[in-house]
Amino acid sequence: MRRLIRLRDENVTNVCMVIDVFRAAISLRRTRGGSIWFSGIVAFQLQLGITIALAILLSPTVWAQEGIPYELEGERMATPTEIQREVESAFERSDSNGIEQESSLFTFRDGGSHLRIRYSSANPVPVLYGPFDGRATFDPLLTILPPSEEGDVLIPLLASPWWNPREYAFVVRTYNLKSANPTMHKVTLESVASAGERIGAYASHLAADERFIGTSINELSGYSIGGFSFTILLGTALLLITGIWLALGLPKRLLPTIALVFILVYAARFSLNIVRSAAADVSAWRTDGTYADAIDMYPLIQKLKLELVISSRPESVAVCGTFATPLRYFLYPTEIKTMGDGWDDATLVALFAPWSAEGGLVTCDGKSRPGEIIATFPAGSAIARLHSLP
Amino acid sequence: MIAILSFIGITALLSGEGHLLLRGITRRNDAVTIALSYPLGTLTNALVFFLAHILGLRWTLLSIGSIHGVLIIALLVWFLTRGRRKTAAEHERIPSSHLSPILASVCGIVALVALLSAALYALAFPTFFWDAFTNWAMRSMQSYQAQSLVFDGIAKAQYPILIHSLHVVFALPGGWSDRLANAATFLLSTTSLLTLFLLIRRQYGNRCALIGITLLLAIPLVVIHLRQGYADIHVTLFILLASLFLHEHVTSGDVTSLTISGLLAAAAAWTKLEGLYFALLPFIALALVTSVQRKTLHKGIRRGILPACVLGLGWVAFLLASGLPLSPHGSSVAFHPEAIRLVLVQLFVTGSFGVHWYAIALGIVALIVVTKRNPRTLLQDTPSLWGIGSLLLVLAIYLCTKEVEFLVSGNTFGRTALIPTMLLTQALWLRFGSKE
Repeated sequence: MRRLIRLRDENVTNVCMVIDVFRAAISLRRTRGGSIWFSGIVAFQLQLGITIALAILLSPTVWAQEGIPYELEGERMATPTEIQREVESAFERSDSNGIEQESSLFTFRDGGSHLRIRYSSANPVPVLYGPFDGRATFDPLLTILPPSEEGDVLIPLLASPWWNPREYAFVVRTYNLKSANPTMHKVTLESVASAGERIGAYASHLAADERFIGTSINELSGYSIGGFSFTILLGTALLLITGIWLALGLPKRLLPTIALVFILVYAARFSLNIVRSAAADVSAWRTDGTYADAIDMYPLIQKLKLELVISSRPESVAVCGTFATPLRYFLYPTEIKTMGDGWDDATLVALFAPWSAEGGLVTCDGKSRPGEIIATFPAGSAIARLHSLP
Repeated sequence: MIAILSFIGITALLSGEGHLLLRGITRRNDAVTIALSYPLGTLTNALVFFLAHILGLRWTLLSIGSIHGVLIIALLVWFLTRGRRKTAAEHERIPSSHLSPILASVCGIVALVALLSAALYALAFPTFFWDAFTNWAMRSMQSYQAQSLVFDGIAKAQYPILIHSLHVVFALPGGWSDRLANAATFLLSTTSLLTLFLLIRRQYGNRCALIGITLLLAIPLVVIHLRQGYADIHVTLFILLASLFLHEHVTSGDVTSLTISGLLAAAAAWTKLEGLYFALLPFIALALVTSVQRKTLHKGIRRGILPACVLGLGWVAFLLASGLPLSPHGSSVAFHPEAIRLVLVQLFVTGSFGVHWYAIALGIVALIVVTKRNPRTLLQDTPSLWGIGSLLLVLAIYLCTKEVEFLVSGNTFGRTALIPTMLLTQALWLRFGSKE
């Protein structure tokens, strides 16, 4: 959607016009029979004023100086499985064979509302992006860049509940087919969102649920409005109201009840989050056995267990990716090795990192061995049976 | 079917042991005694497994079952010789209180959502959180398979064994089951919370009890921990119960409450090493202070401190004798002022504790104001003392030792801070919110 509206000078003219008509309406009201006309003119002017105000709010504040980029939508992805499905769909694949990814951290001098990407690619480019807090990327957004020789796109950041106008560090992950890397010519941060869009984004941030992942047992992020902690907002309101209450000399015995109300407000928001995320988790679990950021670890484990049971010979299992520890638990007493110490001897390998299987070779984390894929899973994982080197 | 029957059977066994122990101590049969039976049964179970390990017995159904059999007979004989208590009535007299329907509904919904969601994840989903795959369920399964307590290849071998022994005892009849292990610990969480509710109700009435439990379940991190996998929620609930029973002893003079408080502090020490520093040592200190105040020092030592030490320090003595360190993280003391900001972020900015710490801060200010007017009231308020002590200890650990690296990484601080958060929430609510 192109944004070509420039209303600043036109808005000033319209405001002067409104004032002049108001003056005329007031003088008309003093005449006999003028009150009806007065009411009608006031109503019309109010409507015109509201329309102009909306136009001001909805108009962007700053425009890109070089050319006019194409604006895409950025969608907040619910689960890693969804991300995987979108990526595979973009490449018209049914699994993640040969899909590679590359992550980069971009830092800018100032904040902004959109990332502008200039690129060249023969294929679509799925892009996962989001603010970076120094530890992990929260709630990434996903967009698909169309194939283009001279692509120039704006992708909005507002949908991320961790975005704020001061945020200047972002992680950008691009996906591509093997040996078909896109070329990112330039990535900049632009401030093109209107005041109305920003206000709308802030309101939607509070409605964005927190994702409960493995690290949630250590710390919960909570909710934010424009990157500003909801905990601080609500807590400060509690402190302010308590201060005013005491200053006004109101009954102190009611203060515990006031504190209770604020706690219950937060608890209500959190309870809604719990219910919605539980419903989503149950749905994903029943549909394809995936679960939060464990993605398809559990169905993969079930399949591996079956392979180990039906196998007529001792198996050696290696893991490419990060789930060696849970696999040791669920497959105990089978020894589970990592790529460093188990790849060369493995007969079965669980592929949790980007992998490819071409020409009879299975490749993961830069290592290759003869083998074939025996199972694939919804979030892109797979199990491969490896053969001995000739 | 067999799994369900064995689950019921083992639950009945542990609850029976706990109940006989409590009946022998209190000579009373009430709702609190019934609810607390299973949590205390997990302590006796841990002692059974520890005894089997010390005697060199393998952890089999026969050996563990035999020791449990001997224990239950001994407890039965002891209970029968104790006789009934000559108190006014078997049923409790619950203090009257008015609870508005709206408040009851809101509290009920918040509490139900927390508990039902926790039940869903604990019982319908497999183990999910990382440390369960290393220190907790994994070690339990390895010990079950090896039929003995496993130390080799375990990253944190000094962890006490209440949770591990609980996992294993449920696996003995029918084999290891991840769901069964989580069900066993989920039952511990729910019975502990039920006991808390009934205990507050006994002392303060329905309104205070419902709101008190809701305040605890409104802590977001508590809801996540109730999904099971880690032992932090269990050690914290044992500490909460210990502080409440001690408070009951201080306010009513009932020395059996002191004994139960000591047992619960011992149970905390058998659950995680934090139980030694946040439960057993504070219990000993507070029990000594209150006994001196009431001029019942000998009774306090004999009926409270001694049983707690004998039962609670067994694992610590074993570690020292084995040459294992009392902490898996090492120790070095140095003040890290840059970590103060991180502590404030964890308590007042992140979503781990909601807005609880804003309310707790106001409550502490109120406590200081009230105490300045009448300092003696603070000595009576053992839950607040326990909570403030635990807060100071957490701050000391994360600001003045090497543990600061786990604060920086956001790894353990939130879980350890659950102890002062829940203690102070409970204590300040009982102090200022229990009066209508």
